[in-house]
Amino acid sequence: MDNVAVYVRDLRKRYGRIEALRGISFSVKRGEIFGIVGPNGAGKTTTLRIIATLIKPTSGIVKVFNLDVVKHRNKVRKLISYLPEEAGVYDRLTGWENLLFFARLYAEDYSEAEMMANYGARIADLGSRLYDKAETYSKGMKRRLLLAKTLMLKPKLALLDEPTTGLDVFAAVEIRNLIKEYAKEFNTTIILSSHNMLEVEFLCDRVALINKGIIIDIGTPTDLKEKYNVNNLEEAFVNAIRGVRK
Amino acid sequence: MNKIIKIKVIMWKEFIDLLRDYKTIAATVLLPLMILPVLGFISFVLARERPPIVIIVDEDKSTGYLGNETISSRYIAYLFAYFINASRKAMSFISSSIDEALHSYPYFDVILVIRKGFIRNITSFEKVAYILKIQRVGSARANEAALIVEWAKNWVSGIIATKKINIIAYKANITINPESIRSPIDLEKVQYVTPTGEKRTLLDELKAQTARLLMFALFFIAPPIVTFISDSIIGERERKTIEILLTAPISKTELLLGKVFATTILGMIAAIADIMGLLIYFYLLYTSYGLLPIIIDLSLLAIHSLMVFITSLLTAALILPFIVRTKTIRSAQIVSSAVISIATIVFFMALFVEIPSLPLIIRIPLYLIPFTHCALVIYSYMYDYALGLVVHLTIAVLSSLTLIIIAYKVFDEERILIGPTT
Repeated sequence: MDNVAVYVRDLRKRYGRIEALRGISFSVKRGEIFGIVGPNGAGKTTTLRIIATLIKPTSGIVKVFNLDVVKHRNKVRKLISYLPEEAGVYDRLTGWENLLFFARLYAEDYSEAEMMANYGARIADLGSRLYDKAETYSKGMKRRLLLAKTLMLKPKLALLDEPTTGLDVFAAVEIRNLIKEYAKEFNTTIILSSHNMLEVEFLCDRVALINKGIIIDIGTPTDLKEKYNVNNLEEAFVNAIRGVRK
Repeated sequence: MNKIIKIKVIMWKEFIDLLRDYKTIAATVLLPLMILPVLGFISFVLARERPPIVIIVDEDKSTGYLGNETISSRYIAYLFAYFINASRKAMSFISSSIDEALHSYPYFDVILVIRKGFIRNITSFEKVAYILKIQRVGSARANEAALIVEWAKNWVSGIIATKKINIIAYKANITINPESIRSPIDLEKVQYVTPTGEKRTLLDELKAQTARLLMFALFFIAPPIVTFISDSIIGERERKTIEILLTAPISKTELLLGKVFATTILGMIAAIADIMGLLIYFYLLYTSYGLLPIIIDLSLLAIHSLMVFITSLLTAALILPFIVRTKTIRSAQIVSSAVISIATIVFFMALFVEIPSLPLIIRIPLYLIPFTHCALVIYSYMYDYALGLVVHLTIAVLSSLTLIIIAYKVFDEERILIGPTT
């Protein structure tokens, strides 16, 4: 277990009559980039929210660096940083103030918070626009700012829900490169969910294919392509759902 | 990092957000600061430009004798006109007939008709002389005009009564002070006391009136506070910032207290703007109607500022348990309206009614409303009731804290994240 960053066993989540997760299990190694891939409503966001301590599981075990997410919620929160799929920024605050606000919630004192925010400013790379109100930013700029907020905290585990959603090709490529470089530099464990198979193939060491609250398969992108005898992860996913094997 | 610093960080963010929310600031500061003085100005202009109009019609057109003195109906009409104009609160005109009065002054408020036989009656020692009072239906100033007419009538009656008393004294060959007959009972100078009998001065009475006004001013705090705290929780969800905030290493207590305390800053801004607006409004009323001035002293302002803070805290705390549980903006708006309505009832009542003097059956439900205790803190201060002040202040603070604790207990992050927003 020492090398395990995230441990998920038989995780179930029910919203009234709807069963969003139907007993999923996986583990993520330290320093690994782990992708969760699946269609809308598959249970990706629910899984990330449970790991992020935002919602409680109906049953099952979820541990982050050996800490139970339900019992040790506050301790887990200090280790993680979460970028939700549809996250917004505080529009009336400048980009810098947005970064400083979150840095101050995590840092021990103001000078540490400033250092964090300065690092976030470097990641966001918004130039002089950093001091403009966030309401004037484009969608891509806001997403960069949010990713910078997530990574400036230098978390042990970063949870990225659809990090490039809604971005144009150039902005998406920039963000993917940023994530890849960051993970390499800090050896951070990253779990990301995505619809984009190219993105997952480019970024992830291992991938879990999820559909209707069940994990269908887990493996490296290369292993999965080989297993389903296809050229890309997209086809592997389709074949996995259909139950077609080599 | 300790809890207080995290609360301060939340407050810092909320404060910047608030300062840049120009529409909310404008609604909170400019509206009362403009509307109340404009209301006062309108009252002032109305009082000066369109005072109550009283028409005096002399139908009698006769002359009689009171002793050796000639008394004519025209003289009586002029006396009325003189006193009404001397009041500086109404205008009067003399007209020869009701038809002419109606034709010339269609927007009159009151017509006084000196009818035929008036001089015969007023000069007799056996009859009373009557004047017909006609009031226009729908007149906005009729009641005011009626009061001034009553005041003028007392003066004119007094003049005639003095003349009659002097005639009687002369005929009886005795010395009489007409005042001892006209007004054998009179009131001495007013002495002011508290309900427990402690002596007070006119200054204290003016302070008490001011305090009542300040109790009413607490009402203006509720609407911006309710709007701000609702937006602060549900707005975060709408703008999709709540999810990131909830994963930060802050407790529910730090998050809620940070937001509630930030809200009290808005309450302070609202209260200052409202008091300024009210002061201008009452100054204008004072200059136009000659109402008593209001007296502000530092200790009264200090107690008011404290109560603004407590009322802001209480308002936010009252709505918080509902806001953190509500799934939709619509239901939040309904609860907001309910809280504002309760605040309106209590603080409006405080302006006109002495709550402690009400029957127990009415007081008990009022005491269950935490806002009542905010008003009663100022009321207790007004009468130097130290115990009452401490008791009501404690109840108001404890109610706020209890409600914040309830909000903490019912605050469900999952519920805020998942569910409809509209």
